[in-house]
Amino acid sequence: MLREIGLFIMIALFSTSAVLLYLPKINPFSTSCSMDWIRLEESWILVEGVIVTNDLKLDITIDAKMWFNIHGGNVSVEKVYIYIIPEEAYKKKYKLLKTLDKNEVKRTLESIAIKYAEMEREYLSSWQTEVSDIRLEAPLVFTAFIEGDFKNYLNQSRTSSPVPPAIFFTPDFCVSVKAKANIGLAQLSRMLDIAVIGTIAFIIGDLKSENSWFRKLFSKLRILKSKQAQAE
Amino acid sequence: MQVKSLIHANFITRILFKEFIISMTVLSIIQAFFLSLMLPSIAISLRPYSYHIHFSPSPKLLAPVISITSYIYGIIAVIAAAQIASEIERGDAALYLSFPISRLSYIFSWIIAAIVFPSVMYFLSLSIPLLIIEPKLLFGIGGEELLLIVLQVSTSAIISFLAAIILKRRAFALAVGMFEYIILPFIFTFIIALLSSYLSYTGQSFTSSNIWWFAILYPYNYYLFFDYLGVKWFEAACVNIPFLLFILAFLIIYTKRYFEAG
Repeated sequence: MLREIGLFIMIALFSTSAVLLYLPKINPFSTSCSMDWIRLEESWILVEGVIVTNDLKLDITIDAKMWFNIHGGNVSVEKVYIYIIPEEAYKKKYKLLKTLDKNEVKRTLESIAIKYAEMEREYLSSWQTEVSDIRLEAPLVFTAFIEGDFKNYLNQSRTSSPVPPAIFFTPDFCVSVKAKANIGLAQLSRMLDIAVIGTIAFIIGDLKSENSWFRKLFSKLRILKSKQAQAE
Repeated sequence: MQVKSLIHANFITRILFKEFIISMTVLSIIQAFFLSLMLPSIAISLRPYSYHIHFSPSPKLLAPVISITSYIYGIIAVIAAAQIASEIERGDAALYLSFPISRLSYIFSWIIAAIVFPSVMYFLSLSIPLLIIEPKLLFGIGGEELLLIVLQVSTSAIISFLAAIILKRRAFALAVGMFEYIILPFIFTFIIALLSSYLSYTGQSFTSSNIWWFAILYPYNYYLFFDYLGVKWFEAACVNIPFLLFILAFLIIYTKRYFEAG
């Protein structure tokens, strides 16, 4: 029975290996949105980031699509920049970002970002951009910096009216991530370990079995050799 | 007794070898494929930075895979368990029992070959891809699901097995096994839906204490369906295991006292 178990281990290993080789091509995606901001000023906004984490010890690369929409009126957006920042660096500068002025915020974000880009306008109130092949080792924060005119919104929100303005504005910054899991050394070494265990179980089980395949094979080889020797 | 059981179990697995190999290959490919499809969504988590929610993987991580492959596993186990009846029908069982093998050893050998062996197959076909991809997925997250599905299928297989040795007809044993594994869960779910409606109509709250009996036969389904009622995996196991032991004990007593191969 040990032989059959060893064989099952090897079948499972073979099937898994075949699928894992196909694995980098499989990339379903997940999406998250941030509808809040860290700073809201008359001419710029720093949007609250979206954090992407890798919760397994897997080598993962991601392709990310980001888009930004305006909901509500009375504001105009000129430019939108996205920044991809390691979480540690973002956390360190988080409090500082709340106190700096526009140019300093931009400079700080650029200095800590692993990638940044200007988003392209898609429609009248929609911007988007894509980045690819980002290695996700440490958690990454995707955030957006928006330049425009937000005076009207600020004036509306500063009024002491108990009723919120009928048309209000929220930044809608979304990140959609396609993940690709790559097979690394850790997976290969575990494959090797399982292959060794399976092979040992198979060989021991077979040699213990009454109708051993190995013994049959060896006896056939012996017969073949003796036939060859006789022919010579 | 154990040695004789093992020798005869070995003999049975040799007879069913081709079927086992085909099933194992199909199971492994399906499980590895579905796991790899789910993997990016298991590995990656996205959230707004201000939420400060830390990753807590769903306790039913393997549910999409298990709900598909458990049917294959269950059907293999039920068919293998019912196979003893065809040996009794053909008269082979009487022949084997004329050798120095006791009835109990004979039944144990069938339990090993028809219930333990498919369970080992299922466990290996699911645990090997998990171990290769990330051991945390097996030991930290998916282990309880795997245990419950093995308990559920073992219960069905033993019921089918019991039907096989009592009724001595393979077709009857298969019908009992398939009814218990495929049709009865739907009937139970329907009863639970009626019960839930009745309780809400009478103003009582519907809790897990109203439906714990579902876990007697279907611990995994109970754990999967009634998560929203705060059901825990060990509750499901604690309800099922005494029943499983009871039917095993009944099987042993029946075999010792009443089992006739002829």
